[in-house]
Amino acid sequence: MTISKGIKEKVSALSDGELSDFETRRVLEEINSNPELREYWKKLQISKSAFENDPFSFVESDVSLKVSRELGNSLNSISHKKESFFVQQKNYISLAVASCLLVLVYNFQSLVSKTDSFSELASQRISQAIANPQAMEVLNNSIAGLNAELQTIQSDPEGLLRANYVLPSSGKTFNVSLSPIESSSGLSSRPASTIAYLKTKEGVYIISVSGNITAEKKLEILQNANFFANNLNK
Amino acid sequence: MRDTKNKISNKEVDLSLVRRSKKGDYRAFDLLVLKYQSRLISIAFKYVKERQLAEDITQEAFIKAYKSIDSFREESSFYTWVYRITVNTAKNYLVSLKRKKDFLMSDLSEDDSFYLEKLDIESPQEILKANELRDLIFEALSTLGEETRTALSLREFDGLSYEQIAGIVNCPVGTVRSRIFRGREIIEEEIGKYMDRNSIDQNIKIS
Repeated sequence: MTISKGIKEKVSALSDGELSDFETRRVLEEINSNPELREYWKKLQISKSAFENDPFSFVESDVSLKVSRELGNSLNSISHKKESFFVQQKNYISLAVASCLLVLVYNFQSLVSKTDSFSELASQRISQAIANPQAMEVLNNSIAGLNAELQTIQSDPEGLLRANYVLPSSGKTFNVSLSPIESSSGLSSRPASTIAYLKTKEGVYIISVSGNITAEKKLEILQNANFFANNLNK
Repeated sequence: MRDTKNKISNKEVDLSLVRRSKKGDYRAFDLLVLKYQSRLISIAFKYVKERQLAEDITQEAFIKAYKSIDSFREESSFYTWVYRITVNTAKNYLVSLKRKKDFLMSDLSEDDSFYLEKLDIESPQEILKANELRDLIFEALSTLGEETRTALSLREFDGLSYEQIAGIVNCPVGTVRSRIFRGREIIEEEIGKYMDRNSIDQNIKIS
């Protein structure tokens, strides 16, 4: 995956603490979905350590993934700590996912020309986020049969809910995200993402799969989500 | 706005990542792990004198840090805070080890106890690589154009903010940001080449 100079420049600025909170959030999303950017961050830290004259900073070990995996098991409880925030703000949205009427699965590339008008229309009807148990169920059921392990779960105030998984058999990683369409510009701009639209009474949501797995597996995940969402509507 | 006479501290640099971590954003915490893990492994190593143990202790320290990040009051830098956690974790380990070792030693022959001590050896290879890499980074810095080198030096050696640098070199903040980035691009390229040459890239990549 080629990284644009623009995003690398932002990562560089982030390493200096020179990004606004808004920019930081966007850059974190980019880093999270692009392992090359994560590597770039690591190399930045090596050079910054060198300037600080700290020779021990060149230790080649990397415990970050182990930390992430260990915390993955407890992230649910940490998420619960934050849940009251979401519950207060988005209580009624739990009905939204549960009332999914139609799931349309598309390959992202074939939708590029249609996305803008569709997003514009749909985003007028969506103003709330979807971090709720039903959303989690959609994500969990989307990976049925893949033997994937949940690593971390993230959510943000705009309603994005992202679950990061690893396939233990191959070590490949991927993430499945669910978000209101109006907050999904970052998702839809990623060519590697495969997305599906979930049209509900409350509006349209996007489920997106990206990462280091085949296009067939991404589609399978979306089909699982489709099947599960349809069952929720019955 | 920052005091223009003061350097940016690591505390300020990390603040946005720390605050996002407090909101439950693991992506932000992951960047802090990547930033500080090497230093903390080195710190832990000074206590336990064994690489794998040092890694385990650092891992444990980060896990404790994330689980209790709400209690971090931002009075010190994130690094100072997680440093303390790492040292405490290492000390706790040594206390438990001493108890175990005291017990084991009573059953070991002299040769066996010598073997246990002999495990405490640090790799000189790594020190060599560290020195080589640092030399290479400084060499790359010296090849940069004057404007780029000045911006990057003011940031890295003097710890100035982009705004402060812009004031000194009399150009927009965005230009400073671009110059610093350009300098880092060249340095990153050299780091990449070094890693390829020394086949350490595989160790640095996520396993």
